[in-house]
Parts: sequence; C-alpha cells; structure tokens
Amino acid sequence: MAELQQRLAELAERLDFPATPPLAARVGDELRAAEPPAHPRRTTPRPRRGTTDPPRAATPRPRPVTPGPRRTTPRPRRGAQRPRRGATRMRLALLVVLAALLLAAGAVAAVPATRHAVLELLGLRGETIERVPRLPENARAKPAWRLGRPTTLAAARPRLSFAPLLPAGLAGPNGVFLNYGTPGRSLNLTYPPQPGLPRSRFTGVGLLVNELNGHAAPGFYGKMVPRDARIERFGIDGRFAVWVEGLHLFFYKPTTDHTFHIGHSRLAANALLVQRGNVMVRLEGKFDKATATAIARTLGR
Amino acid sequence: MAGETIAEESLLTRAREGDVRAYEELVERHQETAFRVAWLITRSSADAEEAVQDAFLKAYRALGRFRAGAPFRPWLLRIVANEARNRRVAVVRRERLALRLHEERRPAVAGAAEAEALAAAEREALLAAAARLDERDRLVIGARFFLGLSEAETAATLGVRRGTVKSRLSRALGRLRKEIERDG
Repeated sequence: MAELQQRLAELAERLDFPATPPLAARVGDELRAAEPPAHPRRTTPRPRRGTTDPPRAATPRPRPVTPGPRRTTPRPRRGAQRPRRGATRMRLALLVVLAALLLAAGAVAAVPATRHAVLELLGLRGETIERVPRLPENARAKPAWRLGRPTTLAAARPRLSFAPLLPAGLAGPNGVFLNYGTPGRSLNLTYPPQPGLPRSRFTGVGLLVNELNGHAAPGFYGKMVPRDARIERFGIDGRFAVWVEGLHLFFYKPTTDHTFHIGHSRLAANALLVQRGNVMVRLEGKFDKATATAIARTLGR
Repeated sequence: MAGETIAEESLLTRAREGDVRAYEELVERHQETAFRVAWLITRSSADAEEAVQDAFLKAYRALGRFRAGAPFRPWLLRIVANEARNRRVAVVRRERLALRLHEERRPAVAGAAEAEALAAAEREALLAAAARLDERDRLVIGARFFLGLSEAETAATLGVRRGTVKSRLSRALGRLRKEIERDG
C-alpha cells in the first residue's frame, strides 16, 4: 500500500489542474460594495467539538451577497428629541443633494465646450454619463461584450444583490448571463430580434437588458456621449430615466483603479436607462425612445 | 511555518475587524487550494469558480463565528466544499474527471528512454484508474494525495470525522489497487 501511496504522491506533482482564477480582488470588490459586516466576537469560548472548527459557520444560511440599500431614514428611537434630529438630518441630506445637483448643473454650464469631458448627469447610481467632443478613435463595436456566464433566471436570482426586473410581452429572453465582475453582480438578458426590435450591430441581438445594483456599483458603468448624440432626461411613471440616442461609448471602470481604458469599452447606439429603487436597468437596441419607454413600462418582478 | 501562522492570525484579526484588504490577502493565500477542492467536487471550472467566490464571501461574513486560534484552512475548506456540493448537478452533464498530466512533462514515447516511457504510461494508468473510482473514493484520494490536504482538512472538506478519513482512505486505496490490477 505504501508503494501505491508513493506513486500517488509522485503523480500529484505532475497533475495539471485548471488555472486558479484571481479571486482576491473580486471578493474584495464585492465586500467593499456591501454593507460593513458585523463580526461579533464571542465572549466565551465555544466548547470544542471534534477536531475541526465549528461546522455552523460552514453551512451559513443563504443570504444575498450584497445587502439591500442602506437605510436612508433614521431608525425609530426613544426620546422626544430623536425624531426631530432625524427630520433635521433628512432635511440636511436633501439640501446637500440639491446643492450637488445645482453645482453639477453650474459646472456643465460653466465648462467651455473645448474641455475634454463634462460630467453631464448625476441622477443614476449605476452609470455616469459624460459629454465628450468626440469618441476615441479606437472605439469598437463588440457584440456579446461582458455579458458574463450563461445561466438561468432561477439560478441567477439568489446570486444577485437585487431583485431583477423583467420586461413583459416579449419573445425571450434567449440568453441569461450573470456577470461576477460587477460589484453586487449584474444580470444581462438577451432577446432575439422580433417585430419592433431589429438586430443591433452593436449587441448582436434585438434587445439587451443590463441590470445592476446601483448602490453596490455606483459609477461602475459609464457612457461617453459625443456632441451629435442626444441625451434626454425624463420620467417614466414617476421614475427617473435617461434616453441616449446616437452612437456613444459604453464602458466600465474597474473598482481596483477607477480609470477608463479603451479595452473596457464598446460602441453602443440607442439606450434607455431607468432607475427603479436600487436597480438600474439599461435597455439597448436598434429602437426609438417610444419603443424603449414602452418596454420599460412593462418591467416587473 | 510558525511565522506564517502568526501572520495568518493577524490577518484574520484584521479581517474580523472589517479590514477587507487583510481578507483579500487571506483569499490570495488560500484561493488555489480552495479552487482545486471545489473543482474536484464539481468537475467544472466555472462551477468551481462560482463556488469558491461565494464561499469566500460567506466565510468573511461568518468570521465572527470563527474561533480565534483555530486553523483557518479546514474551516474555510468546509465552506468551499459545501458551496461546491450545492452546485453539483447531474453527473451526465459533467466532463469525465479531466485531470491531466502536465503536457510538457509527457515524454515523446518514440524518443524517450524506455524507463521514462514506462513510468509515464504507469502514471497515465494510475490516473485513469483513479478516475474510474466512485466519487467518495476519488474525493478522499484527491484531497489527501492530489491536493496534499491534512487529515483534518480532508475531514472538513468531506464533512466527516478524522477517523472516517482514515478508514475511507484505506478502503479507497484498496479499490484503487484492484482497479490497477484489473488493468493488468
């Protein structure tokens, strides 16, 4: 038997395991995007069972990878002064947001047209939009870019940090993809070309739906929109939306360095961005604003 | 080794206090073994990758329940193995045990020395025989020999007691020997 064990040990040295993916940065990104965890220290040592450490931790109850949005309203507290303090905080927060929006609007107005990029919009959590004089020359169309790993909706749901929204009344989706590279993870759905949704040369499909947790991935995705493309902010049933019409650049900034790189971008045409709670939905395809808006109105869980 | 343990304990303490960078370092240290354990169980790189990523996230959130001073790797590997088992689906969809020998170390039989060629053929036969074992045998052999896990780590990975690892390994080796003899 010892000889067999020796042979197995020698064999191990020559085994060709699949390459280990670099997980540290990805895990770190997800943790930073999530709420800080509570790690209550045990005050009394747990009685040791067996030789290995507690199995309780080995079978943790399934939880969303990233918790939902941070509590924005103060917790109810005892005492007469507390609610007033909370209300004051709310008012203060509102003022800060208003001031930020005014400053942004002022900046857009004040920056000369020749300036390289102007921050156009602050309204979406998951995506920023910059107005640029022109697109980078080496920008390319990349259908199926960054879709993620093929999966099913049922398998994707528990792995997302948000409840996905699905358009109704369409044929499909014919592809469901989970992208682990986005903080909080993102869901991509592809719909085949169908009446009203012709194939787009930028996505290769009739409709591409991209969803992410805007709270977990603030500013992860972005758009560079040249002057000749249109940006329109409007509301869909009281929810904030942005319509971008015309050729623009869709990109992401890795959370490790937050810098733009042409390799992390692709050309895109018309797209509608809708913020629904913590979910930012992006609908992209060769369609007009009315079609995109009609699809957005059907989004549901 | 003692220095490494101290460094790991320090990383664990910092990670428990919410230092994500310290935890990233722990991930860096253990990701290869964790991935290989998950791969042995799922036999799919994609599933193993998902399982390990989720396991690291869950382990971080469970650090408060981790007993200070206890070895981290067996505790982590148990979480990894549980995640990997959750992802294991119908065997029919899976590739055969796809462990291979390093391509560059395979001798070109025609030109190699006879002894070396024979040794290479024996290794191939041994690997093939191991691949034919049932999952229970394959996992215990894989954990102990291919991944070099300790008995405690193997026990945590398989979710059994240390004594069970010993007896299971002994039986698995016996069956492996029979497989080799059958090959003749």
